[in-house]
Amino acid sequence: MTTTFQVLGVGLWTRHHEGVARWPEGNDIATPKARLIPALLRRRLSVLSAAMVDAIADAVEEPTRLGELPTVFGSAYGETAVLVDILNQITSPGGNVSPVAFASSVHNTASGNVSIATGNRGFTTSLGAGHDTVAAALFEAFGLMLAGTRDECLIVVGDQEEPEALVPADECAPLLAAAIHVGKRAHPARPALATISMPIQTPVVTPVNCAPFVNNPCVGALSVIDAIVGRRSGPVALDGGRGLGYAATIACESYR
Amino acid sequence: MSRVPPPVPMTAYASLSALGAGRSHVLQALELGVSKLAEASGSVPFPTWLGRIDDDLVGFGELLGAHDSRLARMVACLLAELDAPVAKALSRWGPARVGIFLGTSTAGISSTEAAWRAIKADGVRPESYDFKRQHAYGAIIEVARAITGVTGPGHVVSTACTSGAKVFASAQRLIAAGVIDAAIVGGIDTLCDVTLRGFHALGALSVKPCRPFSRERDGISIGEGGALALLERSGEARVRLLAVGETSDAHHVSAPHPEGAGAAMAMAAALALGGVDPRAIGHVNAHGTGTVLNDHAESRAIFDVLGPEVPVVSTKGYTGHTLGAAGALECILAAMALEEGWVPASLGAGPIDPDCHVNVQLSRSTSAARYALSNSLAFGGNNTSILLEMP
Repeated sequence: MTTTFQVLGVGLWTRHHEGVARWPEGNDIATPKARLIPALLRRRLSVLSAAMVDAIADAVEEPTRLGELPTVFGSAYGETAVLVDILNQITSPGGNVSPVAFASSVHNTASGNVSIATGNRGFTTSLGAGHDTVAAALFEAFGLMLAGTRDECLIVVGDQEEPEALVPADECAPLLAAAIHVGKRAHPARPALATISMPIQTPVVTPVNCAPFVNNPCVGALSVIDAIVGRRSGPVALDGGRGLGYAATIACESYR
Repeated sequence: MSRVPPPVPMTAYASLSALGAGRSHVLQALELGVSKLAEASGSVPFPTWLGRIDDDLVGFGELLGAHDSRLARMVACLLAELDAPVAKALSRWGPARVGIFLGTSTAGISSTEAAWRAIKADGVRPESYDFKRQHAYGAIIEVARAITGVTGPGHVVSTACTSGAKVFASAQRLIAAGVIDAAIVGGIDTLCDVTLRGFHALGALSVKPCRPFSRERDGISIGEGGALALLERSGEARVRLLAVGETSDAHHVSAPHPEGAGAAMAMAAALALGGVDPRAIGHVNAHGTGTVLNDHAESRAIFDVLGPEVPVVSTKGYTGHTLGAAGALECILAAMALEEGWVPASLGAGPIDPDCHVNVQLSRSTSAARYALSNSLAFGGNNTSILLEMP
C-alpha cells in the first residue's frame, strides 16, 4: 500500500499572514480578498470561507485546475460567526432568521461556493474531527487517491475564533486557514515541494513558530507548512498536542 | 484506468426516527403506510409538521458526562443497538483497524441554542454547556470512541443533506485502501430552532405533512433521527454496499440544478462504479423532499438515468426530512426494502405531479430485484447516490 504522496502546493491565510510567502514573519492585520470567487458570491462569504479561498489561491498556481480537483474541506467548528448571527436573530423579538444567513451557515458553505465559482461538478466534501481535523482530511484525501479513483486532491482546512460567549477565553484561537495540494506524482514542469505520509499516531511536539495557533484545531496544517518552508524533514504533529496524537512525516525535496 | 472500490458487506445496522427504534417498528410503519409526522406544538410559531422522537433518552445522557447532548444521546442509543456486532468486529479486526465516520448537519446546535438563550437571559454561560464537547462537529466521534473502544481513523462529514451518505463512501475507500478493515458509519440529526426557522425563512416548509412528488406538494417536513451501519471487509452481509456516486451541481447554494444534472451524474457514477445495469435497479429511495424544485429536478434525473418504469419512493412522508441523517437513514430503509422484498408506498404522493415522469409508488409493491439506489441531494449542490445489492 502506498503511504506517501507528493505535496504539490501549500497555501496559508491568517490575519497576519497573507500567503505562505509571509510565514513566519507576518504582515499587518489583513482581511481576506477571496478574488477566486465572483463578486456576487464573494460578498456573502464569511471571513472563514474567504480565508479558505485565499489559502486555495495561494496553494494552486493555475486557478483553472480548480474546476477538476477533488477537494476536501475541514473545519472543527464550521461557520461559527454566521451561527452567532443566527442565534441573535432567533433570540430577538419575532425570532426571524435571514434566509441568506441560514444558507451560509452550513458547514459546507465554503465547499459549495468554491464548486459553484469554479464549475467543479466532481467530488467535494466538508468534514470535522476536533483537533484531528487535519489528520482526518489527509485520510480522506489519501483514501480518494489510494482507492484508485483520483490522482490529486486539494485539502483546505480552517477554523476561526470561537464565539466569546460560548468558549472560555483561554481556549480560543486565532483564525487560521491552510491548503495542501497533494498528488500521486509531481507535475513535469514543477518539482514537488515535499512528500507527506499517511498519518500515524506518534507523539511529536508542535514547532515553536506555530505556538500562537496551537489552540486552533487546524494548527497541524500550519505545522506541515512550517516544516516545508523551513525545509525540515521528519514527523510533524497534526493536532497541536490536543488530539489523538496523529503525525505525518514530511520529506522536503525543495522549496521555491 | 480507475479501479473501483470493491463491494463491502453491511453486516449490521440500526435506526432511530419518528418511526421508533428497532426494525419491527420501522417495518410495520412502512408496510402499513403509516406516517409518524405530527403537527408541531405551540412553541413553534408557524404551522408545520415534524418527525419527532418522543423520548428524551435520559438514560443515555447519564453515560455521557460533559458530552451530553441530544445528538450524543441519539448516537449512544444507536450504538446500544449495535453493541454485539460492533464488539464482535473489534475482536475480529482490532480496535485500530475499525473506523468511525458519522454525518450530521446540525451537530450540537440544539445545546448551543439553549445555552445562548440562558446567556441572553442571565448573562452567564451555563455550567453544563461545553462548546467543544457538545456543539463541535467532532464531538460525536469522541462519544462513539468512548462507547465502543474504536481507535481507528474517524471524522464527521457535514455536507448538509448528503452528510449521512458520504460517510459510506469514505469508509469504503479506506477499507479498499487497506487502512481499515471495518467501519461504523451513519448519520444523526436533531430538531433545532436554527433549521426550523431557517427553512421557514426560505419558504421551504410545508404547512401540512410533506407530500413528495405530489402535484399538491408545498414543501418539507423536518424530522430528527439517525441510522448506523457496520461495514466490514468480509462477513455475512445483510446487504452489500456496492458504490457511492458523489458529485456537485456547481449551480446554487440552496437550489438544485433545475434539470437534476448533478443528481443524474451521481446515480450514473454509482451504477458505473458498481458495474450494475440501470435496468437491474429494483427501486430508488429518492431524496424526494416535497419541494417543487427538488422533486421536479430529481425526477428528471431519475428519468434520464433509469427511465420511466423503475419504482420510486420517498420515505420522508414517514419520518420527515432528517437532514444530515437522511442519507444514512434512507439507505437503511432501502436495505430493509431489499431484504423484505417489497417497496413501500411513497406517502402523500397522490395525485402525482404530471411533470414528474417517473414511477412513484402510490402503494406498497413486491419486488424480487437485487439492487436499489438511495439518493441524497444537498445545499451547496452536493449529491450522492448509494448503490446497494441484496446478496
